Amino acid sequence: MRRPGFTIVELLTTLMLLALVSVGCALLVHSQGRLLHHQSERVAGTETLRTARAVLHQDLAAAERSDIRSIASDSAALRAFRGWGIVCAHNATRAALRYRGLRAPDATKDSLLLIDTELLMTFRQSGATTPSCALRSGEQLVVLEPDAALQDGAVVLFFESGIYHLSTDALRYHRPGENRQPLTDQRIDTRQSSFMMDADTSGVRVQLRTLGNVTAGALGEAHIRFGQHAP
Amino acid sequence: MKNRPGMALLLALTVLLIVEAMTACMLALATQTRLVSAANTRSVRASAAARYELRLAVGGAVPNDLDTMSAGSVQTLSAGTDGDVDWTVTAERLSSGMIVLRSNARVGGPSAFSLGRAVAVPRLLDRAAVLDELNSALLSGSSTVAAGATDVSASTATLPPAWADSLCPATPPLPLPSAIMAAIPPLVSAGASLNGGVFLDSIRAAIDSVALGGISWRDIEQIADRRESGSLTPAAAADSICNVAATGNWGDALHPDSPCGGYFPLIYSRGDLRVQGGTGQGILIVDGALTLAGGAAFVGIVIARDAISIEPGASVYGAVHADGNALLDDASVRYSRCAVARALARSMASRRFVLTRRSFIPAF
Repeated sequence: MRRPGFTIVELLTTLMLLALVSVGCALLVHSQGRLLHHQSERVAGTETLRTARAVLHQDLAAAERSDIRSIASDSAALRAFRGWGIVCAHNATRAALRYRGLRAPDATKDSLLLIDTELLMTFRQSGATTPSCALRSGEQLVVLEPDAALQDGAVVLFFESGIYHLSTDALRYHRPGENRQPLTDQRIDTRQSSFMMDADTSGVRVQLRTLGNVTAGALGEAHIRFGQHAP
Repeated sequence: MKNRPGMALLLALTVLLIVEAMTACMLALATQTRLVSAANTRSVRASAAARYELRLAVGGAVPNDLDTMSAGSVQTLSAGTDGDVDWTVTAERLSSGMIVLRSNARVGGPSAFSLGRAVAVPRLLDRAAVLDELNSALLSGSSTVAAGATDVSASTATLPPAWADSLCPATPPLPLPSAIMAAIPPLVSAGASLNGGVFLDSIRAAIDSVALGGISWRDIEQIADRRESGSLTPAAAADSICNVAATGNWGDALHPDSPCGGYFPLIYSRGDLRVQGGTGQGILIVDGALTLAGGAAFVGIVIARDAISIEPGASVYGAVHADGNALLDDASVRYSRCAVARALARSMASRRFVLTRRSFIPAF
């Protein structure tokens, strides 16, 4: 008895439709995957630029013109702000500070500047017995032996000398005697990125471009004026 | 036709699963992006709010009770809520002339929020330093001549005419005032009256070339209420309220209860100034030579960065400081601690924050 079944035409049609659907699905998955990768690359590139701009803006906008040592197309050397403190106790040689900053003061790297008078000095860290100072939230007690006497209530700013570099596909920072440390992912096209000092030396123009592995690199520009930390 | 086992359903389910998985991925990515964007927005808003409130605090007048704060004490200057933004601005007194202003803002709800901070270290006129510096009726950095029937007196109890003790602000302990503090011995005519000591101290008698009470002369000029030049006759101008915009209105020194009785302007003159009669009060700073003539009467602080000439009939209650020669002829200069302290307390010179270099500090 003949059983009802598929003809060869039906089978071929089914197979062809199946193939079409499969190819369509494969193309869809592939294109979505590419889109996801593309978007991820763009987001990562944009994030790298944003990080680089934020880092540079934090230091360059807080700097006065006198804090900038030199600007070249691939580097910016400056005296970078790292923290501040209020003198809460002192004697002839030592001063105790209520300190707040990015990191603890380091006598081998930092100099301190007395606010208002712009008196710049070096200091030594002291192992003296901790005096009693009422610390507020977020503050730490630091005892120093500065080059010049500091009075109670004086405000001092801590700076370190450092150089920002655009090299080896990243924004890097290095302090004297140390290696260049990357501050961003290696996504910056350093050959197409640059620093440029304004003609009137009031600020610096930073041009950053991401590496264009997937698409043309994203472009980030920033014009940072010195001493513009004020609100 | 009988149903036969096939792959259509399996295929359809597989495709649906793939599509759903991809949709879920995209949704998760979009949600993540939205959350990151919202967090970034909150962060930027919090930072902007903190900076805005700090700017308002710096630009506003200093509250009176800030003066009574001891070094190290903290006071809230402003606090409030606007929608999902909460802010607080506090002032910490570091010394008699320096304040730390901290602005903190919080944006968001109880579970997702961002914090913004801003810090400024502006200066205030150091009243204690100025009171100590001007603890004499007359200070002269060069020659001093008291001719005719000039009267120079120094008494802590002296009050300007019509003033009551209740008007006098509290002052820190100070030594007894001197009548004259001079760089070289003064020439005093036989008819002149000196009530108080005469001291020679070339350092104290000279005007600080950089600043007054910690505020640079350039900043003093910037914050002055009035800028004058040439010759003028000051007179109070008021209807029911004091018209501080009126030309030559230097307050009403002789009528403390009048509308202009509480107006103590900071008056700055770049270059020589001649005051021809009239009355005024406050802090008068002349970056040049000053002449008080025609019975001019002034209550408060008078500083001339060059010579000063007080002609017959003119009088000052408070303190007079000249960097150059001081010539007094039939004039009256009476030290009044009350007048000096009240001029300092009421003048906007000590009621404004002054921003010097690096006043704004990056906040951590």
